[in-house]
Amino acid sequence: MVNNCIVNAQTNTNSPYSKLGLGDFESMGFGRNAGMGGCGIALRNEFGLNSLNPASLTALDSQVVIMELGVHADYTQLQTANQKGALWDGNFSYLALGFALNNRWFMSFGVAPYTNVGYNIQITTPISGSIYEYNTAMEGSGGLSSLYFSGAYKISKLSSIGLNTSLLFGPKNETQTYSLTSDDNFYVTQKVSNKYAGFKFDLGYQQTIPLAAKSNLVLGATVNAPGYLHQRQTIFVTKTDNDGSYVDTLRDEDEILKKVHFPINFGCGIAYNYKEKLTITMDYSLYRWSEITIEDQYSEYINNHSYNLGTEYRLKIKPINKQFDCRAGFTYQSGYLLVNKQKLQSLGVTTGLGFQIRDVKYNLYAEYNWRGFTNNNMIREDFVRVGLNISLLDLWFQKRKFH
Amino acid sequence: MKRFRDFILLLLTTIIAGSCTDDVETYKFGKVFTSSDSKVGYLDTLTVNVSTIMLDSFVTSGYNKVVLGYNNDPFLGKTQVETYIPIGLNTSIPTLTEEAVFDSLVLVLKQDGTYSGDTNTLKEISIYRVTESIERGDDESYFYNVDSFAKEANPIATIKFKPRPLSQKSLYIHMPDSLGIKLFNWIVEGNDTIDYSDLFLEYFKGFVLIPITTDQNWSSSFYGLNSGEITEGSDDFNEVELRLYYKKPDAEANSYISFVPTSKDYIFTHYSSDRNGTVIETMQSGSFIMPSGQTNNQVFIQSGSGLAVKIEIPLLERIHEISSNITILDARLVVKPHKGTYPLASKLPNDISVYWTDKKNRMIGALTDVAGESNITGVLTANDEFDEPPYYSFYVLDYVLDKTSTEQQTDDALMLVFSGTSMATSLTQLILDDQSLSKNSFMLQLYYMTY
Repeated sequence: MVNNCIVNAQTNTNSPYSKLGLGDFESMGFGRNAGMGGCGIALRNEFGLNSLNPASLTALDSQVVIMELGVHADYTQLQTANQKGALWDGNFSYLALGFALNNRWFMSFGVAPYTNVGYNIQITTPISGSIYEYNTAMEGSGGLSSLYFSGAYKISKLSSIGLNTSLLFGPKNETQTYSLTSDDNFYVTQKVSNKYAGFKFDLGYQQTIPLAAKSNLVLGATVNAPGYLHQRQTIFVTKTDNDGSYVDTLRDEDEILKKVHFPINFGCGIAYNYKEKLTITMDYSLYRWSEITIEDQYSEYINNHSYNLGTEYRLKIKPINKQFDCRAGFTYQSGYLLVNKQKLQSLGVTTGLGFQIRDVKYNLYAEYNWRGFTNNNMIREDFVRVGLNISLLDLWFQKRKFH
Repeated sequence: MKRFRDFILLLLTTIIAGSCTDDVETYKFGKVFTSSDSKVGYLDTLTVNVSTIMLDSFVTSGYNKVVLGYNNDPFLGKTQVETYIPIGLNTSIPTLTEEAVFDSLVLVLKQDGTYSGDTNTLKEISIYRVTESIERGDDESYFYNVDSFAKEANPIATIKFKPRPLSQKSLYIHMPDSLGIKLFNWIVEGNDTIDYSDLFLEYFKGFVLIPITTDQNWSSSFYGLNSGEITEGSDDFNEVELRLYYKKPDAEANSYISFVPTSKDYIFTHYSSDRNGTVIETMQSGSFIMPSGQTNNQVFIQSGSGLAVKIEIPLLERIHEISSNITILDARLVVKPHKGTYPLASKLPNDISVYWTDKKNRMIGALTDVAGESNITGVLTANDEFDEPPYYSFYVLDYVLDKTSTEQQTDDALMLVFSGTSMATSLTQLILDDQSLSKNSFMLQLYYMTY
């Protein structure tokens, strides 16, 4: 068990679709976002970080330093027309720090996963003209991480603007093995390693519109600027006989340099906050992935329309003087990939619970997500994630200010 | 600060506890990832050029085997195998008194189980005395398939026998009494011819055994006699023996004195053939080749006479025209005997070897597997019950890798021939179809991959 942990820490997903493109995108945000259907463009929180709109930082309590950390466990069930399989997986989600510099300026930085890659697939394909077939085994791991730095400026009491700079970096590695189903012959192993690095910039804006009786409406918008991802690829192909005693190197190339162009993505959201009891919010994002310049022989990147709906209700239990934030949400993605001419749509429902014990805020959440179909040789994924995002609140700066 | 320290501890705990996964299982599905261009391809339409060649003479002594056989068919004509046996002096000749009585002189041979053909008819063989010394002038101690030595005009004995190779029946061939008495008297007298081996050899150079093939009974058959150890690993060999039977005074049964070959290594087989009227009439040894187009689209392998098949696949050198990044995963050569040229599929010869050959048809070395560890031989798939024709399959990947490599190409080709033992001590033939006569014969099945 321990060996498994150390060796397999690289993969934190088990999805064959993570083979495509840059891997599976992580988009459920920090803190309360995951419990609320991944909404966050129009959310503001005093005691929590929200990675989905950098302008939301200006809501932070000016005297508190927030340290956030998330962990999760995933259960993935994969199905095709005639087979089923399921896997467990767990890892930490993100690490972040956020605080107010002064009344106007706010800052946050941290590290979070951007994409996830993990799969182990075997296919048998007939060879035209022959009675034999060949086996292809594809194993992949990696994923891009994002090291980010956000700054936000409070333009006025009701409006804010924010800028987020992320350094995206990480590997995406695959080993493919091809072998004939007849006895006594050679097999070919192809190892492709990709290392990516590049910058991404997001600009965010939030406007609060006060309504009667301590309620308000928040409008939010985000745009991320196009950027480049630099890719360095190594291809190493060998041919080996069945005993492993004869190995021939067929191809050994490294330093193949490519550039992946990132398109501009947009998002907008609206939130209705009723007194301090109820929040209802909706986000819409347009990811223009059809503009991304990445080659993949199995799929095509298409524009993804993401619809998110979330709600939060504060339940006050007077006898024990505790408050529970009950959350629920819904998310629908029209799909960022076209596989076998079908859009890889996904649908998810989420639920969450937030509570505070002393200076620590706990945000529990659960997400059920479904993606893909079993027709047309596709794979259907049913995915359940259970996670905990923790915010540690500290009065760090307060001591400094007194001095 | 305390808060910060707690945070780090919490972080470390969650990283360790959280980074656990199941053994990454293999999903045996994923047809969605089958790309339209298959990476592995199959090709079996390359032209394979075959020709019949004749090997230069080769050694047929040292097998301690007497082989008699004859083959007569319209493809290869008449081929005959006979065996020379030099007889020597047995060093332990007992002293005989005048009261010992000569009984008979008998040549004893034992069938060793190797044979081919019909065992139901009587076969006749004749034994001749050789008049020329069985030796090579150049001091060598090998004899070749083409060597022959002068013999008497008439045989000194003949015998008709019904072959019983599997029960390893012995043959007792009576030699003329005149010869027997002469030897007997020399022993009794203590004549020098009996005492000194070179004098004996002067007088008695040996025998040659020849099949009498005037009738049809020998058609396409051969028999092996006297070879190998009586029991494995022992020093006792089945030997050709010339036995001088006599009766000692007051003895009930006969005793005998054995004369055996001077050396079992000197027994050798001689092959001769008459190809008149066949497609290979003009065949010569050496670098002479007869492409299959000149021989009715067939090629031949025959033991003893040295017929072998030469294979060339010229387009292999151009395989990179399919793709510059191409690698061969598997290569098998499938070869089919011509229908009707063998009695039973399961009785087809099972020991075809493959050699590299140069442009002068000389054997350079055996074809091996890619690791260089084992020699390649033909694997026969034959089933007498089903109608499917039998075929041989050869794993020729090492040859294909050599011919498709980017290194300088040579004129070396492949040769199919029977194993060394078969070539020297049997009479076996194979008639094979070329590509134009039979679609699946000399078909090279290639599996390749582009990367």
